[in-house]
Amino acid sequence: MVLEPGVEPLADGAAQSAATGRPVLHVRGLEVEFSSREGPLQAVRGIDLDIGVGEVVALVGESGSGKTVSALALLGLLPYGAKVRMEAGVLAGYDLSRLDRKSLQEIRGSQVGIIFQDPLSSLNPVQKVGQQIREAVTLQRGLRGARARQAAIDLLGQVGIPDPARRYDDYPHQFSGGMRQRAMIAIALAGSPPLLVADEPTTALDVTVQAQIIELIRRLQTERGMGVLMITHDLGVVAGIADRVLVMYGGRIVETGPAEQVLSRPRHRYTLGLLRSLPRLDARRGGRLRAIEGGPPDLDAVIPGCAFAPRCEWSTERCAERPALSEETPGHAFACWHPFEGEPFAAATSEVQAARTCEQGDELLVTSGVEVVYEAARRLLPGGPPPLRAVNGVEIEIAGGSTLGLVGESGSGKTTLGRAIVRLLEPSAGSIRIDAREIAKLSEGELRPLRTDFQIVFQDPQASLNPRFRVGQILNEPLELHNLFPESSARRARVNELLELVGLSERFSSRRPHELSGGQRQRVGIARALAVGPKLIVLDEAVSALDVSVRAQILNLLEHLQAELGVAYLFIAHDLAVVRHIANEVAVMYVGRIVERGPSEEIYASPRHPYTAALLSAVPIPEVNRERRRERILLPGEPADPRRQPSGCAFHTRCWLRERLGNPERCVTDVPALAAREAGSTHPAACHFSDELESHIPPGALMGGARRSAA
Amino acid sequence: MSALVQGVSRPGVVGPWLRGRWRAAGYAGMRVILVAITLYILMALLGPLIWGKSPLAVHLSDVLKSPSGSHPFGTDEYGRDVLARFLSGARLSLALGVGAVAGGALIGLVVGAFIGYVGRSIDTVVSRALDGILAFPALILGMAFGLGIGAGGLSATLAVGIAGVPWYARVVRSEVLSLRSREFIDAERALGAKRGRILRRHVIPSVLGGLTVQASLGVAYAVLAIAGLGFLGLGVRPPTPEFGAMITEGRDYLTSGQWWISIFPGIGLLMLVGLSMALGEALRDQMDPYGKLSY
Amino acid sequence: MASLVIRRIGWTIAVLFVASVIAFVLLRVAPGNPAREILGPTATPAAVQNLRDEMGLNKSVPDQYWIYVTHMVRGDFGTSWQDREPVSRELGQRIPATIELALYAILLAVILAIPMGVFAATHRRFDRVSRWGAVIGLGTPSFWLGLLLILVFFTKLHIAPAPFGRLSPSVVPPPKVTGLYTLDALIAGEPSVFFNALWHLLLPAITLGLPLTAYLSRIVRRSMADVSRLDFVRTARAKGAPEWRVLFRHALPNAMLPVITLSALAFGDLLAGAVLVEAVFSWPGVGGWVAQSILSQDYAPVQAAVILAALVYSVLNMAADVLYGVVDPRVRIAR
Repeated sequence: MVLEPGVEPLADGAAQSAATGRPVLHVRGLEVEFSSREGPLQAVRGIDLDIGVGEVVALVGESGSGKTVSALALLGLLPYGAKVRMEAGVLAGYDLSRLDRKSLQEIRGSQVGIIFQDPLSSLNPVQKVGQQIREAVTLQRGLRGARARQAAIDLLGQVGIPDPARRYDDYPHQFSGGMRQRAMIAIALAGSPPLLVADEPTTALDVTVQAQIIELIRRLQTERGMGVLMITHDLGVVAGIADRVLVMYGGRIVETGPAEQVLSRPRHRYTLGLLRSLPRLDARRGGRLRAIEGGPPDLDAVIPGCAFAPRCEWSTERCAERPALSEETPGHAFACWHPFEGEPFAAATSEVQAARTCEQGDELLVTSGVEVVYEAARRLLPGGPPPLRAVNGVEIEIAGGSTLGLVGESGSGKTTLGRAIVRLLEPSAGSIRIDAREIAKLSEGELRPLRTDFQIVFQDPQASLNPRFRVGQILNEPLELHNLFPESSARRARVNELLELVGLSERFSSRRPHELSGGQRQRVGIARALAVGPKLIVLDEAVSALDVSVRAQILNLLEHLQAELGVAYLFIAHDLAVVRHIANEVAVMYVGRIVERGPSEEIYASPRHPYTAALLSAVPIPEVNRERRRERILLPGEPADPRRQPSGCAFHTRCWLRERLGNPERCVTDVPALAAREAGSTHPAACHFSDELESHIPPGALMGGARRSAA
Repeated sequence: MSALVQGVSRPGVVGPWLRGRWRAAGYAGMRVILVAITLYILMALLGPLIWGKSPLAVHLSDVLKSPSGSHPFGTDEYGRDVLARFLSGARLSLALGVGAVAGGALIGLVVGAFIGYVGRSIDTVVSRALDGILAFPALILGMAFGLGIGAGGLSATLAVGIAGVPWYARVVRSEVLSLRSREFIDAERALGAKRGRILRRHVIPSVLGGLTVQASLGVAYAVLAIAGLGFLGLGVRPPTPEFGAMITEGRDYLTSGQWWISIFPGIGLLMLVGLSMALGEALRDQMDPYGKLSY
Repeated sequence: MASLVIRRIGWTIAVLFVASVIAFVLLRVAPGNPAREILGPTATPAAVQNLRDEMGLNKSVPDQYWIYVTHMVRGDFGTSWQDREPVSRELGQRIPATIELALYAILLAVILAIPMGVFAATHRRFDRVSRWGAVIGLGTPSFWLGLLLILVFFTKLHIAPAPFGRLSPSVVPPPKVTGLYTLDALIAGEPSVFFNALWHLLLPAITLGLPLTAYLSRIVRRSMADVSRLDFVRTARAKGAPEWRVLFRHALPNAMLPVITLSALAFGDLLAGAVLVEAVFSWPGVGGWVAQSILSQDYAPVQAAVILAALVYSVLNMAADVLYGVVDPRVRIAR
């Protein structure tokens, strides 16, 4: 782990470690236990961790895997009442096993910097951002007064915040999401620590911003020779930045090795399952995902053998005995009695069914010129904030039994549009026709009987179910409301039918939401939407809040239901890979408008709008070589605020194509219309220069369709 | 948590509800509080019957006797048995306090839920009106009522009850406001449920928990206010025994050594108020596990 | 910011309006014949009628309300029967005594409650104890407590002064600047008067301030506990800040925000508490006067006190909201 001669690291700790050749972080046998009303919860059940100087190690897992808890435990950042044990723990020369929570304060900030998932809540809301960075500088470097302030401003500049001197005096709520995360990074780096711990740093950010932040971390890591512990559930992020990866499941490490090996030739069945269940931009479209059944284990369970065995297709009685980590190829270890051998996706190609051809029915949903405008509350004084144009003139069509994917980042208006379509709010203008019936301006009374035609499934499975009702009651509501089965016995039968339809047994009828897992709750939400027999279901980020291994189950369920019942979907999401998998047609939204629309294949293979191209290039792919060799299109800044819409083309402030074309004026003055190349084409885009896009896209930036052959 | 959440019951399921509460009360000293409250209630309701002596009977021969076997709490300046008056007063304070809160909380629930859910101009107007009432502490309102419609237990209870309405309405309203944007409410709307139905079946049951907490605390404040009015002479009129009035009656005798006339009623007040408050705090702890510290 | 203040003022006026209506309705609806009370039982019916005319009692209710409001706005609260003096004058004379008492009660509460609350939030065992302490502190009737304190500290132990006023009989009040004896004594450079006034303030201030202390300490503790869960506290630790800094530079400022709003409500209740406490200690303030007036069926002071209570509450609330808007940058500065 010695640095190459001639490379001068900036971090003292790193130099020390380099000089001694020892890893920056060395942990053996880490265990974490929480006490709760129901008894002790074993969050981490004995893991080993090593991070060398300048090495990027990814800790991967789903909810309940213990990845975040492990890192926080090492640094003494867990809440009161957590019991941490370890056989050995060394961080940059400090013995972690001897230091208690309070004493660990010495190494925090100086030997290790930490950034967290939600940058808004992680910054003190009543203190200026600059002051918070300055505090870190004072604590770590001992600077005070004007020198500390200057150092803080420098740090702001180093993390890529424009105009740092002015931004110093802003408060966190005045920063955008990406900028806040940069500020967090500045705080973490104030002491030039040899190790950076990043806990899901990009999960809460938009895709284009995520790409920026990952790039920033990569750059800083190289410049400073820092070790990085990257905690994430996103295998694409792992592929992009990690040298080594550790896969955690049920509080234990199940596989570890060089990122390239683990991601392309996984051995543990869980890792394999995870990789196969991911919809990917670089794989062939169509066919069912190979989902892992079941869900992650409960923390309070005693797990005698392999934690993954209950969900594993290949488990045998041997799996009741816990497998130890065994190393077959040097550096690549896994804990499985029946490891996988071979190419993970070779079998996939032969099992892929023909891309689903759906029976395109007649036009079911047609919207035109839909606008949703929020006027600011009337003030006594004039000159309040301008109205918020959440949806600014949208035209989409969905044919019966097909799926339209609606993608966009924050501020795009996609959720608002979805809610307008099911009339949870009234559009300010425009027309919405379902089955040729105009519903945009109907009153609630007129709308009520029509609501059986369209329904919605929400993002958060927990919040979308009344916690006080049993599942049976929840599913009973729609039946009662629309008097579908006047007799209670008939209703009960129908409830059981619905449960079966979504893959849940009758037993679930008497359970309450808090007794169900996330995936099960979402199934109930889907069943509720189906209860009234709708022709169209709006799925508002319906799988975004689910664990990765559960996502594939629900996607398969949705596809199955569509084939069986012929229901159409408006699938709203920000995850482009998921949308590509499930949607026949895709529409891309930016700041309230549709900027591109067309069949899935075409959009992903040859986009006609620079925003779509940038989105596609920002999505990380879980395959190391291709992910690292890609030339990304990095967009500056963040998605525009719908309150302050740029003139002309809303995207022009961030448009990379515009820059390459020499900043034509037209983008600022004229709003581009959604137009196709030839008349009758089904792939229109709202860009003045969409014809020139293709020649400017960097090779390999997009993944979809560029390689039609399998991995 | 779930035991409490489902505990706010529909009528007719009291039995299992009680059992559920008992189970849920297993920790946080809640059991102790519940037992103590039950004892107090029993004492207040049955005490006067068991003790037998009359709280009103005047015995001028037994004036100002200190506590003894036959008069464990002594006698007052009219020879009346203080313990008998104490037990009667306990019952009265309990009844008036609970009555004031029950009325206030019920009205507050309906008003708060309605304006919280409907919002907009109704909310603005009614909230201002509620704020107008809120501007009066219970005691002051009690004074106004006392002068206005004649002092007595009725005016005091009425005033305290009304003074509480905006408080409960506010609590309910803020909970409803946060519920309103919860997705399961949206789901009901998307299904076409009418506003009234959503309020009835979804919103109000969810706010009952928080309301119960406030009501427990409210009983404490109500009892204090009614006693305060009694102390000032604007509450329950003598000779009816009421803790506040009893304290006033015994006031002049404190310095001359006959402390029992004023002290025991005060202890009675402290018991009732303290228990209600403790109950409220314990309920709040159950509902909000985040009350736990993490330093 | 400006719009916030304007809206608050408008709201305050609306609330005062409602309050005045309530006060008016309640007191005018009273049975009984005020004129007869004033003139005494020997008055002739004609004289009573004349006085009623003078007092405007024979006009219609809306007219009476209008007179009442216009008088009130001008500061004229009518005349007290007991001493035939205008209420406003008596009020003016008595307010400083109540303000001084309230001020020391608040001072006591703030000085004790904030540290207690922070301490309870950081030390579990103390927290458990202080919860019971708070229940007792909030639950003890203030009038009873006052009597108890007098019994123990004056009657038995002879430490406290006789509960009959703001100064001992032999002491002359300092020249009036603010009306607050302690302040005026300091201004006039009379330390002995200062200490005497303070000595007399001791028991009443404790009696008035105890429930407030208990209440404040609980809300500070709860707010600190809420804030402790928030992510930025973890960030502060992650920076390497020592615990005290995490507590006082990060947690406490954020925790105090909701405390500001809740305190306003609590301070407003002090006037109600003052009525009881002043009655117990024979304190020459507004509260005691009101208690007296109640017993003698004298409306005007009670009416004035009712309006005063509403005014104090509204103003405090407005101050709290504005203060919150100033202190919380999320309100002060829009995105």
